[in-house]
Amino acid sequence: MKSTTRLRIWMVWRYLREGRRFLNPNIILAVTGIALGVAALMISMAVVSGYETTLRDTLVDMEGHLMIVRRGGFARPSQERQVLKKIKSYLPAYKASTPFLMVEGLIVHNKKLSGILLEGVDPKTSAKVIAIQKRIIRGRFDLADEQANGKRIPAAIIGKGIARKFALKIGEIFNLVVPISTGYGTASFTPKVQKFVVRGVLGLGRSDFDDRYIVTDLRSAQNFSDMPGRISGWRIRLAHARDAIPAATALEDQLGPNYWVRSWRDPNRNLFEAVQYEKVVIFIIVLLMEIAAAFNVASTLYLTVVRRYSQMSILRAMGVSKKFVRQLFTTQGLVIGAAGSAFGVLLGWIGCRIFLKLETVYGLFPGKVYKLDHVVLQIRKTDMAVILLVTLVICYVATLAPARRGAKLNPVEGLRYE
Amino acid sequence: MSEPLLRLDKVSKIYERGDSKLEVLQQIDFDVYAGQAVCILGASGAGKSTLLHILGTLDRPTEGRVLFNGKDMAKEPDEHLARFRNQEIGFVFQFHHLLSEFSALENVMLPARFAGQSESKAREHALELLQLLGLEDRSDHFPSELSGGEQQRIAVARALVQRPKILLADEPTGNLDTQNSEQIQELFFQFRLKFGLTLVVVTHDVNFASRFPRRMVLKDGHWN
Ligand SMILES: Nc1ncnc2c1ncn2[C@@H]1O[C@H](COP(=O)(O)OP(=O)(O)OP(=O)(O)O)[C@@H](O)[C@H]1O
Ligand SMILES: [Mg+2]
Repeated sequence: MKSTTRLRIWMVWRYLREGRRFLNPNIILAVTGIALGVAALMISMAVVSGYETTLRDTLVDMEGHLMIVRRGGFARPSQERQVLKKIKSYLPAYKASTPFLMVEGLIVHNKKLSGILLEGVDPKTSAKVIAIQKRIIRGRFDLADEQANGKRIPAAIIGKGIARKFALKIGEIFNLVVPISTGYGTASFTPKVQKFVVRGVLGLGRSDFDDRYIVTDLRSAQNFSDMPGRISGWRIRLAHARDAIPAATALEDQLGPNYWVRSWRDPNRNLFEAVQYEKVVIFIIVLLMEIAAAFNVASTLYLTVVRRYSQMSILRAMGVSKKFVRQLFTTQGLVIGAAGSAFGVLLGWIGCRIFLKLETVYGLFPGKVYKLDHVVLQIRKTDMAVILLVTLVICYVATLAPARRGAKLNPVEGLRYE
Repeated sequence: MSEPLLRLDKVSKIYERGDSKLEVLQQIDFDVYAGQAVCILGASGAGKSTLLHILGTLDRPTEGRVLFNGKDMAKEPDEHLARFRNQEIGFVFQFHHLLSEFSALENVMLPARFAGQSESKAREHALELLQLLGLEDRSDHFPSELSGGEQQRIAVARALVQRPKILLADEPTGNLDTQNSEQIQELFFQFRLKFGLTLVVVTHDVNFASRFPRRMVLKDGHWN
């Protein structure tokens, strides 16, 4: 740091403290205003970013980054292996893949029934692509069949909404029904019933998943739906979730019309876009608060200029240039901004803690509206960088007018009267 | 005779307010040679402070030139004037003395610090002067904790810390008792003797004025 800069900061520190005294109330108010603005920005950005992340994680944990499905029918693995090869060569970000079979059906239990999605996953490869085990809130991720009286009962992991509605507990048995096609026509089906045993309960935090999802072993799903060896498609893991969005479009072009490629973002594209917009809008609105606080900084500095009229004259007489005087005020504003930012970050962090507490205790979050029953708060580095940068810029701008005023003072004006 | 160190060439200072025109200084010529000691006298409102401010480039004349070593200071940019005031001029003001947020020692150090001197060097020079003024035990005090006389003496120390060529002092002994006043007068002439300091001093104190070889009286905007 240049020695004049150090000297200036030291002088500003003295000014803020008014010599030996504690901070003067004016400065405390100015700093508090900025701190509140920073804290408000930080909390609101943490909520929106957290919402975005929670939503994304739920989708990625259940569906992987990409899903590739053959249109108009279930595929044989031999065919699909070719496709997988192609995919690997097209996607540099490719990390892993797992086959899956998705069947629509009904759960029938205790005289109640409800439509479900049965997903057969491959226990050997699924952990590299999706993270069901992370989402298990009761029981465990184990899809091995249960042996009962010499009969094998396939295991299932059910969404917590289903568990609640049907009062199902770990180890209990329930029935699933799927339609089996009886001919080449699409109109003729016969229902098939199969017992499953509850091995675990999934908590995804999204009611449209939790009320519909049942996961079982791929082989059990194939057998149950009379489609041995067939799969719906593949779920794919890439290096980063964000790679999936361009990859989906590129891949669909490469694979042709027979394949349908979907990224985790696609089914909720509108929601994600809305979140982005919301983030910008909230940022701007909360920023207004900070701008109001910046006016406070400006008026504090104006007051300083007026109060230090004779001081500025003496400084000029001691050989301080106009530029130095201007920088003295600018530095003062930036120091207030920096102090406000520091307290603001602390305040924001505390605010985030309190928000999380309120959320768990009082259910602050309107889950029905936002599709999630809770959000984590996420303090992103990029959000923080933008907040702090904007704060300092605003404080800097707030200092410009008073600093100009201070520098333009006629030095003799401040010397005339006692 | 050689060129004057500081010269006012037909300097006027005119304040206009509405139709009324106040000509504080009218076509004043003033030469100050290096090492001279000049005393400026005059009634209150005669324009003594104004003259001193113009000499030190803190104020600009309405007309006329201010020359330092033959160089027209009016043409210099602000940065140069600032450096000039820092290096060549020491000011002691009539009313305002010290910066209240800084201790006595820091006040004295500041001009040296502005000149880019290191903290330790500046401190050394400042302490030397404070010792000379018998104020070293006050160095950590803040202005609010000092008497008027002590404040004035600190202000003198601050004006001299950069070893300027010229000291411009506006009633430096105005608020002091005889003893303190004597001490400051001694110091001024001591510096003049030792370092060839040029003195331009405004005073009402007859006793003080009598010590100056050259006395000028301002009246109605002219030298009397
Ligand atoms: N900005 C201004 N506008 C109008 N008149 C001014 C202004 N500044 C100074 N004056 C006038 O100029 C005159 C000279 O002022 P100055 O302070 O130089 O007097 P002085 O000789 O130092 O008096 P004193 O002995 O009381 O200090 C005064 O009449 C004052 O009212
Ligand atoms: Mg005066």
